[in-house]
Amino acid sequence: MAVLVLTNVKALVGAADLTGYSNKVTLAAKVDALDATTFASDGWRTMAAGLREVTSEIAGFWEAGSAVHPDDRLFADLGVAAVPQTVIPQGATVGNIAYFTRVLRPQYQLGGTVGELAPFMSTAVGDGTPLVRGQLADSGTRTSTATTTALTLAVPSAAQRVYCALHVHSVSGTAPSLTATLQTDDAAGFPTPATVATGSAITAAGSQWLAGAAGVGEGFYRLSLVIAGTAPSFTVTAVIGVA
Amino acid sequence: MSLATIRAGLAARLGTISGMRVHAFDVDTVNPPAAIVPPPETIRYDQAMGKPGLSQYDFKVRVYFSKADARNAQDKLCDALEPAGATSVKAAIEGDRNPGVGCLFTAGVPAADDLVCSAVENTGVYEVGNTLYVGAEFAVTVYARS
Repeated sequence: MAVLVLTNVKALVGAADLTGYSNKVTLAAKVDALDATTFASDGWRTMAAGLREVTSEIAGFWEAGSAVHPDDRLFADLGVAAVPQTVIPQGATVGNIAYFTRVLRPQYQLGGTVGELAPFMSTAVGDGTPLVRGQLADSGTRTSTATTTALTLAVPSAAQRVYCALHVHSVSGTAPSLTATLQTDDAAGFPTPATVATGSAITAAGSQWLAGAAGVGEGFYRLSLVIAGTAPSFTVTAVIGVA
Repeated sequence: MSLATIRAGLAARLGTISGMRVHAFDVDTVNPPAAIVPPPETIRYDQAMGKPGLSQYDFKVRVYFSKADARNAQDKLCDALEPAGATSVKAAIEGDRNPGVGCLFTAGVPAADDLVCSAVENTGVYEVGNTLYVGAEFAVTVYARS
């Protein structure tokens, strides 16, 4: 392993890939430390884990003009919950570590000093969805039905689930449709794939959150992408994780 | 967008000043009035995430005027230093900015995202090829994604 200079952090919010517009991305996960000390604690404070929360900040250069630009995306998301947000510190190579959740966006800020590049800054908080540490499952353009590369992740405990965030950045074609199914198997070759969760058909740029039932997962995961339409084309980024 | 197209774009914008002879590279001799676009003094890569990402190019564009007549030379120089107008170097450089689209257009294709001519520095006498000229340096910052 080696240390990492941050130059290519992928930041995805809903349908927008904000990578090329951002120069700062932070993600903070916090667990309340509750004091459970008693006289039986033998002189040491006893702490117990309480509620968890996640906060995020993204900042960069302001641009507007379409739903995938930071101004259009982040302003539209003000006060909106359940928006998938993904951060991939090492860039878009399948298998790279990815952090994802769904957020509520309480703050969006723009404007700066004369002569400087117009900046923006926005904060988000988790909306109650767990923060998932997973891997990048897919990144690029899909034009026909396919399955993504198998990822090796944890087998969820009885209290854990498998999650997937799917960001669809652009769609073209006539009557295009993409249906994503999160699959699992106990072998990398997927000889007997089982369905974890299936999303509704996607026909336009947007995002989708898939979550399996508690305890369902066998250690290997992939997406089955069923694509229909005439000359369909979907630019997607998908991440899978267990939390 | 490339450094070559940025320099060519800056030269083209300077060429819109009537009578200005423009060189998109450093030269050993000049025929004034002349403008020189040398390679950038500073490039700051990775101003935004992504590969190759957003780069900031800091140029020092130089202009030279004949020193044969002192007053005329300084009048010409001051015309070039104006923030606006037909003789303004700043106005010429920033003349084709299309916010949100780009700048330094050639055949409708922008060479950069945006730019600013923020300052004039070092007005005075310059020697080029053993000849003295009156001139100045313009600080030009260009932002572009490769």
